[in-house]
Amino acid sequence: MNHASMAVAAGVAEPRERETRGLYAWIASLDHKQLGIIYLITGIIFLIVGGMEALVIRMQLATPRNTFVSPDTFNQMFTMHGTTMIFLVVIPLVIGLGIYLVPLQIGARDMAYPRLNALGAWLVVLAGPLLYYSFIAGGAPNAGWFSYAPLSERPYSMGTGIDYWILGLFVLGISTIGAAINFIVTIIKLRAPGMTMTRLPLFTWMTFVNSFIILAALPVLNASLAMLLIDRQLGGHFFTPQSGGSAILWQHFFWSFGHPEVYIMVLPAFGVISEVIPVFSRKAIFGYEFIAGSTVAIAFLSFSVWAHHMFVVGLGRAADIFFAIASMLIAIPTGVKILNWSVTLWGGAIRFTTPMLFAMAFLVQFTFGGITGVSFAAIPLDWQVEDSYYLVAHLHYVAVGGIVFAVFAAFYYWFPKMTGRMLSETLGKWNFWLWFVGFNLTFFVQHILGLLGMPRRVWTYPDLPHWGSYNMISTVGAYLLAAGTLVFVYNLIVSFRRGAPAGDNPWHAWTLEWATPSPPPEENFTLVPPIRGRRPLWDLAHPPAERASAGARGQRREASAIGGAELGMLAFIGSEAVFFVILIIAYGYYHEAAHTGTVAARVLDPARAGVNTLFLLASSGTMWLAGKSLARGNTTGLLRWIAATIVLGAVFLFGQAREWTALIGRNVTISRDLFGTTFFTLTGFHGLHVFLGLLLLLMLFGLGLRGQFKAPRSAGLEVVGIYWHFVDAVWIVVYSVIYLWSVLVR
Amino acid sequence: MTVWQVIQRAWTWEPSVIVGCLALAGGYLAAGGARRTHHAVAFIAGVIVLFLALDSPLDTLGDTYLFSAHMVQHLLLILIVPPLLLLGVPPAWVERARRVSRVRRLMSALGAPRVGWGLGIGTMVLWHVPVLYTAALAHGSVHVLEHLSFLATSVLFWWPVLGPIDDARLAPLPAILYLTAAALASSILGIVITFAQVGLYPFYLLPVDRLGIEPLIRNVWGLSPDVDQEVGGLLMWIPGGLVYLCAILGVMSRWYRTAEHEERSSGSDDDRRDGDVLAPVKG
Repeated sequence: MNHASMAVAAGVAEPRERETRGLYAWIASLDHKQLGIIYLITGIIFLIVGGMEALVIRMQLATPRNTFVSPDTFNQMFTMHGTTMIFLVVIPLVIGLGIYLVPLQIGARDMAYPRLNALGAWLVVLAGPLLYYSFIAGGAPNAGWFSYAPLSERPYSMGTGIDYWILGLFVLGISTIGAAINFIVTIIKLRAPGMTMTRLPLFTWMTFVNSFIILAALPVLNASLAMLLIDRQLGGHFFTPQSGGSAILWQHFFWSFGHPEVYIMVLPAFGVISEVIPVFSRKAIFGYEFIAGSTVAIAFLSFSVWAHHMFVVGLGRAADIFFAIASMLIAIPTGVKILNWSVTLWGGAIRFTTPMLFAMAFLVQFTFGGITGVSFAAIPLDWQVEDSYYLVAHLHYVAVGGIVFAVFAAFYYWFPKMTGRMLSETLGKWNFWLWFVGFNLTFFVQHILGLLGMPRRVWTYPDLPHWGSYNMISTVGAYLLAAGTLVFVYNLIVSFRRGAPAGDNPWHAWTLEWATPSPPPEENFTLVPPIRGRRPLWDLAHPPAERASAGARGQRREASAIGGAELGMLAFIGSEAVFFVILIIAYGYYHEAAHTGTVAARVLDPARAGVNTLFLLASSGTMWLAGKSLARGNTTGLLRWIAATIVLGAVFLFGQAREWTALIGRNVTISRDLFGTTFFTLTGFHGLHVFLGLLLLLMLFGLGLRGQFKAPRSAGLEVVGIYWHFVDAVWIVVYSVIYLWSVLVR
Repeated sequence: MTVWQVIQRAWTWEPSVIVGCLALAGGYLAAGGARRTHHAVAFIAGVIVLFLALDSPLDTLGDTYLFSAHMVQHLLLILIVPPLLLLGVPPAWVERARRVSRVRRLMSALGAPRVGWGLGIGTMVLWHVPVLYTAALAHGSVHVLEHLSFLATSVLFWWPVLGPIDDARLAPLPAILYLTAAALASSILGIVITFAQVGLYPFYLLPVDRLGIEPLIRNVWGLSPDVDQEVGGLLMWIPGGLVYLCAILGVMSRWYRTAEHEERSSGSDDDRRDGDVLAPVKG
């Protein structure tokens, strides 16, 4: 496929040279390709760091009664290992791959929001050191990667480690949500003509569906982190049993994020496999629709299985059974995918390149991990092996044997596109075999250890039969993994400098990213090839025999009526809605549960709050009127109504502040009891959103003063309007839940 | 009493239900619905499920003894019967009805997604407010109103997704969001009920045991009031959610089938003009 000849034929000018070069260009870059690479490099660096933590763990566990590190150091190691691998390795790697590839695969020039993209990348780069600063600030977090309450609360964790964990994850959560919003708008709005949603490369489709999971799951984490931080730093009581809080609620909240999170990690991996296997079998993927449809099923079901992490908590038989059934069900769509990938291989002309080796290992290892996962859905079995090394083995089989192997496949497959050079196949095969043997050695024996009774997160263990020898085998395997990782990094560096030139399409693949030079120019495509199917380059090389003049039907693209800016804001408020739902659930839960302390009915004044509410609702009206004024070309009216909105919003905030001071004056504070904690958290975050809205409105007002608005409509005004109406709608719900329900129905 | 005896003896045989179902089925067949087999099967199946929901022992159990049984009945009325009935309506009938301008205007007003979603979900949530729920159980007329409102608003809910007219239907992605949002709403309600304290619906705490089956329910089936309430909430949440998922998969299946049809008949190279090839890459 000769892209160059197409460019010459169309007589298009040469791409513009980058104006700045060197490090500054990278730091200031808004180019999705460079930002994607920043994500990927960050992920690789933390892979090494997290890997070293794993080696410390394995060294300590190599023999019984070992004292390689102290117990507290060990706790920090496994906490940081898990946190690093999930949040600083896998997520940046899979998001980074998406950021690099999605615009290329859909024939776009860049992502929809390049600056948001840059923000996301740098938040990841900085969140890592923020988390790791904890090591020198008194100790890294040591309560496990899911920081169960009450261990993560004071007085059980008095150092600042957990706080750094909270802050680091909070920053990463914001970055990930931003990336998800970007993906959704990019994929809906920026597809090249002919690239319909049903023709999307499966990696892009998976990234698209994944972005919705992110929008619904990450805010749950953010809300939980906020509540935990409030407990720790402001004396809240969300998760402290001794003051009426519920440690179980933390588990519910965390796993409501945590389970979808594992699908957030694996869906892009599925996408990679769906790209790699067909290309190296020289066959189109079998059952494209089933792979695409089952992805939606997984996304949906992923939110209804979280309590399978809590079978040993004592939720009651009915709840346990329902979650067990749902957990078994979610295996079905994944099985559908495995079937389709396997059938794609069948009858194909298989080339055992390094990416293909990693992909095939993925198939076996992920399936194996998936099967052990389904075994956990059998509740009696779960009760025996929960939090044992059987669980550790399961999670590493899916996360490492699955996801990381897929990421390696992605690197070997797309490195040529990113750099213009092939990775060394020899080093690649060393990488693969060291990892394949090392991985299985490390983690297979852990199934047995778990069934023999070894619990996870133990600093050491007694000298029971076989425990020592299996642990030693596992440690040896870990060193093989380390060696394989070194080979990988070496391969990256050496091949970047001296690898064989790759050309546009070294693998003879079929998706759009292969229709542009390696590495792609800044604008990605000088010409986007015509898109008539799911494999544009294959279609170009194999034009259809009949020459029916069907008009431009092959070039159609579904028009999306909604604007890009509005779509992005809607996605954002979707995620914010989830954030508030969690806080409202916390309020509602503690209102229902029996507790002593302040009674809402006695301290709240629904009438006054109702008047305050009217001001806020009126501000929605004035905002709507502002839009109407602009539509009529009345810029003075526009300014007047924006100013009115600002004033009304400020009055509302003032009213809130007065209520808060009155309550605090009566010693109803955030730390007093659960009412205070939940009330101030919920209304506080809402007030924060109002405040941010006022800042946005002030910006609009300033722009309006400088005459920046042109009739009949402005995307900026629309977008801020959507945000403002959302904040008002949230207040209506909050008001109903706090004032109306609590006070009137008591 | 054994389960089999319950099944034999506890039917309601409510005359209005029998008449209503017969009228529905009879009217459908008389209007010529039987000519199109897959439509007919769906519609008659819907009528059968309607009858079973309202007159079988499920109704008896739900009206007196078990919150969870009542939940199953409602789920059938909201999630199973309306989709089957809608799938059974031949598009030709709707087209004919739309030619009357007043009917067409009514259809476009009521068939709007916002209306369908709002009324459908709103009705479901409203009837679960304890005061209203108990009122329906205490007064027969309110109960009839409840069931009719479920049926009517659910037909409106499913219309933008399963309605017989293509252009009255949502595009695939908005349809998936529509259904996901509905699943979310019903899941939240289900979760609230599951984790609420027992006695949310006090009617079920001390049932009047006219059939003598309370020992069967409490001891053999293990459905104490708190387990009963929990199971009711779980049924709304998980199996309810699965119905929405099946609808989503149906939407996706229809989407890809239509797309595949268009793939086969798409244009060829000769139609390629330079203007199309120079795709306007967006910045």
